[in-house]
Amino acid sequence: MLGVLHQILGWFWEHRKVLVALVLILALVTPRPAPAQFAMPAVVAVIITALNAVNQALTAVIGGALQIMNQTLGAIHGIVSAVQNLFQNVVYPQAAINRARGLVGSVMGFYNQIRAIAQTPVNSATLANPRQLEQSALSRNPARIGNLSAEFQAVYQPLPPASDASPPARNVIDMSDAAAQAAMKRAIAIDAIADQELKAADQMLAELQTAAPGTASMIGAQGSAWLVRSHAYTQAALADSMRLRAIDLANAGADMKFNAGYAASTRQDAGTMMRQR
Amino acid sequence: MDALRGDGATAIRALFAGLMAVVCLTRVRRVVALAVTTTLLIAVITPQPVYAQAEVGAVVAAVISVLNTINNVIRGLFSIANNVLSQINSGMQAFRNLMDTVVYPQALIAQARGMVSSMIATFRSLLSSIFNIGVASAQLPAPSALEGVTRNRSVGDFGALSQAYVQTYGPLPPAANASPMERDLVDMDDAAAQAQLKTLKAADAVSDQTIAVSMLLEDEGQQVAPGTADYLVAAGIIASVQNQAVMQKMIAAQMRQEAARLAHQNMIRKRNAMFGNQLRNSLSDFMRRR
Repeated sequence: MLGVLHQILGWFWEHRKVLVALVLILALVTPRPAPAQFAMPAVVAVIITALNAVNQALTAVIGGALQIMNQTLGAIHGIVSAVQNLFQNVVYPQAAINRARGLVGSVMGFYNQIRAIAQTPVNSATLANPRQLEQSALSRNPARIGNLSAEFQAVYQPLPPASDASPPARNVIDMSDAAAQAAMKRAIAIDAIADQELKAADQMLAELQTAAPGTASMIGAQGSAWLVRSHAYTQAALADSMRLRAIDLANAGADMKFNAGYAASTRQDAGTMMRQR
Repeated sequence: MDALRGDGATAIRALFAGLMAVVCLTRVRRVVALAVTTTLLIAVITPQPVYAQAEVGAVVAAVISVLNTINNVIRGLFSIANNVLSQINSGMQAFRNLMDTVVYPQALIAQARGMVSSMIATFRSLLSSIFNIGVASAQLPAPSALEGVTRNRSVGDFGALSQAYVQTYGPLPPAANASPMERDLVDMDDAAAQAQLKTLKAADAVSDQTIAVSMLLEDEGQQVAPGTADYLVAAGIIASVQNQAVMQKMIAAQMRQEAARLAHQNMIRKRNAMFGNQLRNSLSDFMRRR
């Protein structure tokens, strides 16, 4: 042990120049500790106090305000959630929307049956002329209105010539024929209009089947417009029917007038005969 | 020589002392010279620590400025923002109250559904029993058959109706028994009457379907949500359009029948005029012959 120590010391002594130079260089090169830039305790205390004040201000002013904001936003969120819940579960539940759309499909099914019923043929005439007239009258085709007058005359005969009937009688016959033909023509037009209305109603029901809850009332508004129009057509049809009744009543009155005229002339003729005898 | 002041100078003095001791011990002049030169060079080149330039007063002023900004500007802005949020909160609360208690109160929703159920219970069976009261009164076989078939609300037996009609009102007279003009008139009258009876059967069937639609809508009304009631309303309105169309078809059928009746009466007038003319001509011939 002592020998090893002696050797080490000997080695140091032999290389003392290099070691001294190395120690010097290391002493110079090794970085020295940097002193703090604010070394004065008073300055540090002031700065710490100032930072504390800033911190307190931030906590009190910004932190407090943000806390209030957070509470308010939380309350708003709660209300929005409640309203959303009301709309999703009470006002517009998806299941109810689906049910309503399914119901519209069922209504469409019923009206498909109704259309089929309304279009069931009801013709039954057997002779040529009546069959022709009946086909036109039940055709629901406005293009056949032009043929109806000729077909009507084929069944109900034309206006009698002046040699066969008195002018008043011809007037009544002409007016009655006109009213009857007009009614048959209007019946064709009304049938065609009704078909178009059924088509429009189908279109609206199909649209309603895919409508959103918010747009269903828009389809309803369109339906209301069509309903008003449809009432107008019904009124027009009723008016035509009433016109026909009025002509019928007028004919009854005309018959009584003719009878009164015939009775007067008969009495006159009888009186003349009696005077001559 | 500023670099040689302060701690640096102390270190250099200690270094020189150490060097002198080494020189004394070793007397190695070259090493000493090299070490001294290197030390001096490093001492000159090494950057010295820099002291902070800011003064304490400026720091304090800056901090006070920040505090003023926080207390005066930011506090005010946050106060405004909080007021706005508070108003929004009040508005939302009012909206929720409106929806919950005025527009869609749960109790009134249930009451409306209950009203539908109550109306169904009150009116449905009553109306159905009134509507279905039998009104048939024919006694003989043919009229009974015709009455039955005209009131059975079916569109599938129009052939049976034609048969029952002919059995009750008789067939079209053969050509030997009536003039063509009269046969046309009779055929047309029969056709108009039968068409009307068939249309009435169809109308009865349509009426049944329409009542079924109304019941469907009413049933759904027991479960409908406030937001989906518009579907039912729209469907009901559109169904009304279709009902109007069917009513128009019925009125058109009525008009055809009335027109046929008017034309029939007019035909009698025409025939009377024709026969009157023939009678006058016959009487004239007769009088001339005498």
